[in-house]
Amino acid sequence: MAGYFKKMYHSISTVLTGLGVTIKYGINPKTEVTQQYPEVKREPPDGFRGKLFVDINICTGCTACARICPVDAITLKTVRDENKKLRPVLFDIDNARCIYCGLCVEACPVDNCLYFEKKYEFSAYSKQDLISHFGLGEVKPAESKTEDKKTEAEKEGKEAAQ
Amino acid sequence: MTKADEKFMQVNMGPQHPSTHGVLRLLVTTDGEVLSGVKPYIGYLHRALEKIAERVTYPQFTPFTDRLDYLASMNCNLAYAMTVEKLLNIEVPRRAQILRVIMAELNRISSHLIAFGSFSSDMGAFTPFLFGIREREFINDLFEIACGARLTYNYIRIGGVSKDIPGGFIEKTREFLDYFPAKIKEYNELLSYNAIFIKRLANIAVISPDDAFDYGITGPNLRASGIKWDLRREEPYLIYNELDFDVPVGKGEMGKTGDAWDRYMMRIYEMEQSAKIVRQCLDLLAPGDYTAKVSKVLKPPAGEVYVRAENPRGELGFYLISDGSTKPYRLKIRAPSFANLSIIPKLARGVMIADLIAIIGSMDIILPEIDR
Repeated sequence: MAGYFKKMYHSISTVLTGLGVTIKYGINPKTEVTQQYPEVKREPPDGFRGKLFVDINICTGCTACARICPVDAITLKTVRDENKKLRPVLFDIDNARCIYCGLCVEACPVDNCLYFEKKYEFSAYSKQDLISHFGLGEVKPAESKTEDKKTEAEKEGKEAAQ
Repeated sequence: MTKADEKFMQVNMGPQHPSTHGVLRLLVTTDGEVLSGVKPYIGYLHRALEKIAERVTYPQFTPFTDRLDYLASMNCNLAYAMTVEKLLNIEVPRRAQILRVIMAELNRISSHLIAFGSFSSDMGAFTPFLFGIREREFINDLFEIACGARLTYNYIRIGGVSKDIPGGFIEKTREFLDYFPAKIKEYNELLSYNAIFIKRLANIAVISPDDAFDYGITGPNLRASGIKWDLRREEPYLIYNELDFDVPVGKGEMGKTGDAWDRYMMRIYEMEQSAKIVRQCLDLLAPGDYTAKVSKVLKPPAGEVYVRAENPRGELGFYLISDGSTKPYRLKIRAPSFANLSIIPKLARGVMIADLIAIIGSMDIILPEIDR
């Protein structure tokens, strides 16, 4: 009989000790740790791996990032322009495929060309919208050359006329 | 179906059952409330990681190891990095080694916090889960400032770590270590020594040392059975041989040695030890290189290696065969949870259905590692 009550006392006392811990948190507002997310937004620290961004104007088109990517999230197409320089005409990053591992950023030989933004909210309604396009766009080198020639020819013609 | 079979009922537990820690399906044969057999069906999370390894280069596979045991990504990164380093004979700088130990131990704490929290919520106590998550958030913040990610870190690389820790990391880690012991005391008050909790777990699913050996159980589950086996002690890697820490062993404080309560308590003890290790490492941290010089294209010589490391859930092993090219010829992953899961059919014979939850929870299995 004494054992029965002893057990009962033990059970109730341990439960009350546990309750004491929770009550301590319940009545002390300073112990609150949650953030009210949509209203209060958290500022990520430096070096946060958010959305990828490419400064396409300084991109050399070396395709190091596309080659290192383990999930083939980067589609990169380059064309040689008139100065024999590689021009990244197509630079698509599929954010749905990207696993934010950071290998491409480390592989990029140009400083501040490919880097992670602190942006972490970029959900979209369709998968297509998740692809970010950075490419400079297709410029037909032949066409531009003819244009150049035309202007030159015009200049020459004008000079001749004068 | 014979007449004798008719009294049994077959029920599926999972794959979406909240206490199966992922997508584990258990085909349960019951006779009323008593189980007569349990058969785990796995593979719902299969992503063919071993096959992917044959298609990507050595550095490219590191992010995939994050997804083996996502609660302890650092430890998985570490084991893989050590495997390739052994093949390539890379000497890792001392600072990188210390950083690796810090990250691995912090991740062990965070993994055990989830084990503690999810186990308690399986057992019907929800508050400890929130407490565990709260402390884990602190560690996640530390990892975020170190490497920029909160879950899939990809921090420990072949040759060292991906970048040096930023200023303020050490101070914040110390702050956490000062704050953490009080919280462990709270967990014990709240849950560990609660009479109901003990009554629920003591003498349930006892794993004898012989069974533990037969089934290849490792990690805290093995130590709970009273066997002092910790790879950090027995086969020290990195700088573990310089560090002073204890290997907690199950003593059967509340019942038989190797019962569910012992397995639960191992994790609480290990968190204390890990905090002790991190504190020592922070004192040892001296300026230096954070990574060895590793060429961009890795071409290890032909050969094979097996490297194992102590993960929060047991021994994670990588068996790697190289044919001298830039991609692995074969990568076999020895997942600790797989071995730990294999004993569940044996343990769950003749127990109540409610105890099955306790068994799965106390083994602390994780499915992505089993299915991989």
